[in-house]
Amino acid sequence: MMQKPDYTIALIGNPNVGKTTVFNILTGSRQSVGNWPGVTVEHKEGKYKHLRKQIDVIDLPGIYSLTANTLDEKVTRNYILQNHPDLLINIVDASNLERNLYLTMQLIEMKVPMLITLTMLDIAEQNKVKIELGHLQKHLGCSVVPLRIFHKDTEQLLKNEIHEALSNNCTPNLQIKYDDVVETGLQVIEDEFEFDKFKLNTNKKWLALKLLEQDEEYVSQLTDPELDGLHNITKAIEKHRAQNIKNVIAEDRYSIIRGLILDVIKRKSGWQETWSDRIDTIVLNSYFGLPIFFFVMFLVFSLTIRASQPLVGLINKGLGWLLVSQFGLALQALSLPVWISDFLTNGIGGGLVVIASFIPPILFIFMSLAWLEDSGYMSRAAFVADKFMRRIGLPGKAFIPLLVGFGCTVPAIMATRTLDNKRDRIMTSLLTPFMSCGAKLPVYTFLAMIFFTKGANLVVFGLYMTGIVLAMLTGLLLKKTLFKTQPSDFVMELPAYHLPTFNGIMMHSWHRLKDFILRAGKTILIVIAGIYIIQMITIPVKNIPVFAKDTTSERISLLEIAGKAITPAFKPMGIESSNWHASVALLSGLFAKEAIVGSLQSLYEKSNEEELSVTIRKHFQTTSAGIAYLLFILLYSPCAAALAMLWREHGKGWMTFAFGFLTLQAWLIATLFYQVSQYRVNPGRTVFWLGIIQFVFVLQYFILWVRGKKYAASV
Amino acid sequence: MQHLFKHLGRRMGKGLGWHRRIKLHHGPCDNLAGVKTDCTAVIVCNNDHRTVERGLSTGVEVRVLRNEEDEPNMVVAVGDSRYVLDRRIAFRIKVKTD
Repeated sequence: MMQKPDYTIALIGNPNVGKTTVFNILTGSRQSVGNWPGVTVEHKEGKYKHLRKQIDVIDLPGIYSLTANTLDEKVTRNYILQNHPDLLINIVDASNLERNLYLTMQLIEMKVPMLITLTMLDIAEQNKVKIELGHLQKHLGCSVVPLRIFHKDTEQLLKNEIHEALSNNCTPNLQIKYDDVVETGLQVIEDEFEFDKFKLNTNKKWLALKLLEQDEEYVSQLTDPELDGLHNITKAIEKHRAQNIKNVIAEDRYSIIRGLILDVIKRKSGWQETWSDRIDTIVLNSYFGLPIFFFVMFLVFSLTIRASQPLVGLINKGLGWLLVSQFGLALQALSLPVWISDFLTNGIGGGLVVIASFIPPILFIFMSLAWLEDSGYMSRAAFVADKFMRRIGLPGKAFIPLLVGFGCTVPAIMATRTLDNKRDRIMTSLLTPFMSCGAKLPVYTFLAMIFFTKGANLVVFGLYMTGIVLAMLTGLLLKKTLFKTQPSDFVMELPAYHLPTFNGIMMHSWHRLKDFILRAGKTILIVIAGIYIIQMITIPVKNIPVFAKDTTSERISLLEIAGKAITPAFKPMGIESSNWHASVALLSGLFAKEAIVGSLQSLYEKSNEEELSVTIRKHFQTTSAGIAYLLFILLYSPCAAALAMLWREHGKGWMTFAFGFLTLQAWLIATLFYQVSQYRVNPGRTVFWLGIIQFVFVLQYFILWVRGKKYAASV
Repeated sequence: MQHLFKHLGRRMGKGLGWHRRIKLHHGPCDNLAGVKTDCTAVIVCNNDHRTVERGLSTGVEVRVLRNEEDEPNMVVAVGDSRYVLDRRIAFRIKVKTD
C-alpha cells in the first residue's frame, strides 16, 4: 500500500545548476518518471525517509523565471500555486549568483517556505568569487546551505537541513520594494481589484505583480473596469520609465539583486576570464570548432553503433532462442492450435525480441547525450552546428538526432526531445529516416553484392551520401513550404564546463530507457503483432484467380496479396508484375528493414546463393532497376517501430504524413532514376514519366505550401 | 473606480517615483550585433523580455566573446553568465560603446 507522505518538497532552480544531482542524492533509486498532466514536460518524483518522516520529492523543470512564457515555467508555477509543497528547495548556482537570484526573488514574492542550497561552489572558488553566506542568509531572510556534491556527508547534511526547515517556519522575510511608481500602482491594484475570482491561496502583491506584468492567465479574468484601470496604471508606469512594463519590473528586480550582490560577494573587479572561457576559445574557434564537433559526434556515433552491435547480436540470439524457439517448443507441448502458438512465438515473442534489440543503441545514445549535456558541451555543439543547420531551417541542436539516425531511427526521434520548439522537433523527426539506419546496411550489402560484384562498397557508401544530400534538399523543401516559420530566435546559456557524475549519467539514461520500454515498447509490440497477423492469415489461392498463376502454394497470405496488388505502382521504377516478390519484401520491410533480406531469400525460393543472385538479377532485368529499388529502400517509410515512435512523440497526423510523404519521395526519386537510365531504350516513355514526376512534385509543393500557410498561422 | 484609475494614471505619469533609471547616454549608440569580439558595451535599451530576465538589462555591461559576421549567433558574457545570443535578438538590443 502507498504510504501517505508526511511532507512534500519540491526542487526548483535554473537549468544546469545540479538540480538532478541533488534529486539523486536525496532519493537514490526511489524515483519515477512521467509527464506532467496534458503536457510533454518531464515529471520526476522520488521519496526518502529521514528521522521517521516519509518525504516525497518533486523535481520541477529547470527554469529562469516564473513568468509562464514557456511550458516549463507554466508547469512549475501552477504546481507551486495549486499543490502548495511544504518546502521549496531552491538550488542556486554559486558561480552565477546574480542570474540565479532572479528566480529566487520571484519565489520570495510568492511567500512560500524555502530553503536555498548553493551548488557549484568549486567553480565559484576557481573563478575567485567569495560569497559571504551569513550575510546572504541575513539579507534573504532564509537558510542558505552550501552543498559540496562529492563530499560523503552531503546527503546527511542536506536531509538534516531540510528537516530543520520543515520543522520551523522558513518563509523568507525579505521585503522587495520596487520603484515608487510601481509600488503605487501595485497598491491601487491590491486595494481596488477583486481577488476572490482567481481562487488562489496566494498573497495579493504577487497577483498584483502578475497583473502588472500582463500575465494572460490572470488578466483574462479581469472585469472591464478593472482592465481599463490596469491599462491606465500600466500606461502611466511605462511613460514614466520609458520602458515596457514587463521590463520595468524585471529591471527593478535586478537592481535589488545587484545591490545585494555588491554586499555579499567579494571578487576582483573588472572582466574575469574563467576556465570555461579559455576552453571555449578552442572549442568555439573558427578553425578548431568544427573538427572538434565532428570528432565528438564521431565518438557518439561509434559508441552507439559499435558498442551496441555485439549486444544487439547477443540479445537477438539469446532472446530469440528463449522467446521464439524455447517458448515455441513449450507451446507445442501444450498442444495449442498452430496459429495460436505461431502468433505467440513469432508475433509476440518475435516482437519482444525486436524491442529488446533497440535497448543497447538507445541506452548508449542516451548515455552519450547525458554526458554531453551534463558536461556542458551540448550547448557548444549546438552553437557550432547552428551555422550549417540554419540553412535547412533547423537549429544546431537538430544535428544530434540526425546523427543518431544512422544508428536507429527510434532513438533518433526520441532524441528530438532535446530541441526547444515543436516545429524543430517535428521537422527533425521527418528528416531522421533519410539517414540510413543500421538495419538498412545488410539490405544494401545484400543487393549491392548481387548487382555489383565489384565496387559494392562504393554503392553502399553512395547510398549513405544520397540519403544525406536528399535530407538537405528535403529540409530546404520543408523550410520553403510546410515549415515556413523561422527556427525560433533563441538565447541559450553556455554553462560552465564540469565533469559529469557517473551516477547522474546512469540515472538519466535509465529513466529514458525505462520510458522507451514501458511506453513506446507497448505501441511497437502492437504494430508488430498486427503486421504478423496480416502475414499469418492465409486464404486459398483458388479464391483469387488473378494471383493463382504466380504461386505454387495452395494458400496465399494477406501480406502477399497486398504485395502483389501494389506491384503495378512500382512498374515505373522498374519492378515488373512478375517481380512481385520485391513488392512483398518492401511490405515486410515496414516490419523491420532487415526483414527485406529474409523476405527476398524466402520468396525467390532458391537454396544456394549463386542461384538466388541469378534469379534476383533475372527478375529485376536491369541493374538500373536494382539501383532504383535500393533508392526506394533508402527513402521509403521508416519501419513500424519508428512510425510508432512518431505517433507517440508527434501524434497520429504527423505519423501518417511521414509515412505518405517519405514513400512518395522514394517513389519519385526511384522512378526518376530508372526512367532517366532508360532514356535510350524508350525515350517516349521516359519523357512521359518525367512529366508525371514534375506534375506530382509541383502538386506536392503546392499542397505543402498551402498547408504551411495554415500551420504558420496556427503557430 | 474608473475615474480614480484615470486620475491616478495622470498623477503617476506626471512624475511620481525615483527618476533614477532614465539615463542619458553620450557617445555612439549601436546595436549589440555590431559590437566586435572582445569588446564591451553598456546596454542602453533592451525591449526583449526574455533577455532582460537573463540579466541583459539597461545599464549592464556586456562583453562580446565571439561575433563573426557570417554566423547566425554570437556569444556574450553578462556578469558570470555566458549566452549564445541569436543575432536577430542582438540587433534589437541598443548599446553604448566606448
